[in-house]
Amino acid sequence: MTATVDTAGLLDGRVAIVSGVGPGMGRSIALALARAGADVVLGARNEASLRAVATEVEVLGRRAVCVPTDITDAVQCRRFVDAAANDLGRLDVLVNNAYAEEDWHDPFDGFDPERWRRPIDVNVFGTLQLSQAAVPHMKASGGSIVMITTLSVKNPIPLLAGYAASKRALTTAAQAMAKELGTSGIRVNCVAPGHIQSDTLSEYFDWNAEQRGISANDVAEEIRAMNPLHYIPTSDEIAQAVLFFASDLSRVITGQTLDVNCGRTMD
Amino acid sequence: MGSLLQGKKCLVSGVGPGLGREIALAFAREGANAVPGPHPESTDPEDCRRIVDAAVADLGRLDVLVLHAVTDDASVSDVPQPFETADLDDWRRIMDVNLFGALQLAHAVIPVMKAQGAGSIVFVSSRDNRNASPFQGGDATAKAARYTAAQVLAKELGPHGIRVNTIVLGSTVSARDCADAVVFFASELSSVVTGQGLDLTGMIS
Repeated sequence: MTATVDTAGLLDGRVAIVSGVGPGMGRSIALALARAGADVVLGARNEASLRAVATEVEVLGRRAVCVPTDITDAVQCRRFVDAAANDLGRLDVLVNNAYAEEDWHDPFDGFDPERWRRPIDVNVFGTLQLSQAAVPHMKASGGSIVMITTLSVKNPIPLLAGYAASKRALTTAAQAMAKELGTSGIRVNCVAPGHIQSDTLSEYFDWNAEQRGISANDVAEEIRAMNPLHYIPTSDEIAQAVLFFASDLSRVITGQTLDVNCGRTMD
Repeated sequence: MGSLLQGKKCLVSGVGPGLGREIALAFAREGANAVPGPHPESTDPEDCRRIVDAAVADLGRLDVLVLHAVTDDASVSDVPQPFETADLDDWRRIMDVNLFGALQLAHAVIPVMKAQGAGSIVFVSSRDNRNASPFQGGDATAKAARYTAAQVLAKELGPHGIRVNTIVLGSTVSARDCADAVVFFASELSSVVTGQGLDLTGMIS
């Protein structure tokens, strides 16, 4: 699964916004878009991680603008989007990658509705108000909005029910947006990853292995065996699917969700 | 001109004047070598094996197989038929062209891809088999069978590094638009995607 693909030119002259840029998926998406030729506006609450990714984008020869942003604040969303138009001249692509999940330590019978409020606020309303701010900039020449959702939409993890519910709501909102914005040439699609190789996942394997008295590799193998490719994708590999939806290759696709999980789910 | 399929060796079934040709051209633009496969109605195993052997002899390997469906085939009536009075031999004919022709060619290619430990098979289906139209039941049923076959192949062949996906054509989509979406499933952009269908919706509203 290590094969690389030369994407140079796919997004030449385009400007993209990526929310939730830290060391993981957001970074992979920003770099995939930049390698394809896009200039990028990077947002997240943590400014230090934005700067680190911006430096990597500039090494690729693209421009990067950092806008520390909390997407639950409408004023900050507008400032984030305006940076694309003001500093980079246009806006073609918005990748909604920022998310929140609830503290997952309490089971449902100890349910506190307040635990759901944060994922709903961030993943639904935060994402929608950032998208709403982006739409006027995309109306002139069309655009692509990509939502990063999750396998949990179909297969919720019990202790992350609020997160799953929020992403399901976002998926439905994306379909409604696709119908409303299609006549303006704006496409809206969802990319739904499952497990992703990361330090957090490795820590989970270690923790789970210790609980069960097996090796971390045994736990990893169980996860790999859940999909036909027997593989856990990296965030870089998932970002290539995001690039597809950002690019003109997908110009006749809107309102769709693509499961990017090595075939674990099919429908 | 791009490089998304640089160096890829591809077999595209049913290259005629329409969609198959656009797919072959899009593949060439992205740096691939594409050779035409048999006409989709060719369900003869010997024909399929001969074509695959020739392609491998010519190209050295096969990274991508595109199984393009032909519903505008002159031998298949496109006249709407209510099921109640349909000639089921017509349905059988549609099933032969859309399903068994594709499966026969896949059969011939799979050993090549297994030996490589890698490959991408892309089914192209027209019309949305998940939302069948009345009076075109033969076509919808055949496309649904293709779709399910693609998922089964994805599960069986995944451990060998072979991915299998389906492009579902909408009625308002041009051959050129479709070809670019096929490039995605053919390329390593979709390296962690298998068993999936992508609907080419056009701009819905």
